[in-house]
Amino acid sequence: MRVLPTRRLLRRRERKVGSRLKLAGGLLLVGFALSLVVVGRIYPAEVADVRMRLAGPLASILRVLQAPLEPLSQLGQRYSDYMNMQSELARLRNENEELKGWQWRAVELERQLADLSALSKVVSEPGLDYVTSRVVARSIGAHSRSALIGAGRGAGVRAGAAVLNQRGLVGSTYEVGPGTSRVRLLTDKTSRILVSIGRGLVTAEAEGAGDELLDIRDGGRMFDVAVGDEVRSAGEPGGVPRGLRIGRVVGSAKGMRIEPYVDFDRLDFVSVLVPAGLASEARGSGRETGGDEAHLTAHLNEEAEGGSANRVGGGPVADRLVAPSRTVD
Amino acid sequence: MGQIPPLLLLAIATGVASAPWVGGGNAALDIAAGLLPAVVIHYWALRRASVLPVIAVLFSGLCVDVLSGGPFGFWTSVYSFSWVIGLVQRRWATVFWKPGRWAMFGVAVVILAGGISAAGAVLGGDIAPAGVLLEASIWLIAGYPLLAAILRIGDGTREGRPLESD
Repeated sequence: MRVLPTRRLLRRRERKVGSRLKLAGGLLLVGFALSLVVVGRIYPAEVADVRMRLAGPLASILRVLQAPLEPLSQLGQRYSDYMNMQSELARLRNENEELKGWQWRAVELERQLADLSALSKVVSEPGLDYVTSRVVARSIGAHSRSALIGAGRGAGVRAGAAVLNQRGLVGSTYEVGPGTSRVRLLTDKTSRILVSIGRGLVTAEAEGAGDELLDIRDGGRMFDVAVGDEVRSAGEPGGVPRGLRIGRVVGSAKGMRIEPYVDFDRLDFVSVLVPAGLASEARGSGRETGGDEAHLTAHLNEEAEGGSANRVGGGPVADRLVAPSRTVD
Repeated sequence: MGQIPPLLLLAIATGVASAPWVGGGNAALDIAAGLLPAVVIHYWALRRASVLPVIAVLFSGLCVDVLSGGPFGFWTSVYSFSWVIGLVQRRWATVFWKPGRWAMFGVAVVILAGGISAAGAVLGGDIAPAGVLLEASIWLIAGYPLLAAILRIGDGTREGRPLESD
């Protein structure tokens, strides 16, 4: 004899069916996500293009979501600042003394350089402008080091452009979208940059290793390199200009390596070097937007106190960076 | 109305996952932050899957994929695995009390960490070394009671609403 199912049994059966449907939906989602990974491997350029197009609108949403948590991030930074204050003060005092000694010499050399350039009719290098933008997101992972910034093609940014902050060179752009760009940090495993080390101007390649320091490769005259030597960019055509501060040589278990001046874990505002023509075009078309003035003021104050990479970075770059910066937020 | 807090919490976790100020240079905390949306997804899949639509899981993963710049689809896969693990485990969620659910979360994190490690090997090893993943898993498992408490309050009740059963 067949017993009619009660209401409770029916509900239970419905729940079971609903649960199975959810599980099936979840498994479909897993399949779809894995197929995205495969598509990303087969068509990397197309996927990167789509990703950079989506990054702009998503970055705007992300800023809104992160706004309530901003005080927490600042709290962490202030605590870390407070803990490092004493050692930072001592370091700055020493650096200040050293810089005072160099100041008169720099002025003298600048005058001599101007005289010699006039005598030898040196062709002036193309002018550079810079746009300042905030870091919106960062990569997740132990080895991959990149950051998404809120300035893209609309602000005149191109792939391969140098990105710096008040301490020195941060990296270079490698994916550029309409309103955002992705920056490969110097510490990324795939990062390579030509550098000039010490007073002997030894040219070598600085290579990211996925940790806090950079490896030195292909330094033909490594015997001329000593711990404490200053490292600057050697310059590449159409890429990172010559003379930008990168870091200094330190000794480590893996031999001599480069310790960057930039604290990559606390990137906030960065500036991207763009050809002056492109930047004025972008400015003319009205694509620049107003920035977060309070943050920019703080950034500029810090820049003025810490010594700008642009100013300290050495003659050619300092001379070329004459146009006022713009902020894209 | 019951859907708003879980979706909002997932959105915040997604925002935190790729925020530039999270992690503070510690690779394990970096990975743990990346797994925060997976924690939220697992929490709701285990307790009340009806409040979190599967499309929200997809959107969260895609957001992190687009913003973080890693292998495309990677975090979408991780979060959808977390969803499926939660759904599979939910039949035992009503049987066990809180420590049991904590243990279930531990199992889920270990499975996800194993998956990330395997994916790293397949995709060229640029996700995280085993030591970093282990440390991130420990951080997440140790912090689960706190995270669960936050998620419970987000649900509108201090004790959490009754669990859905199969």
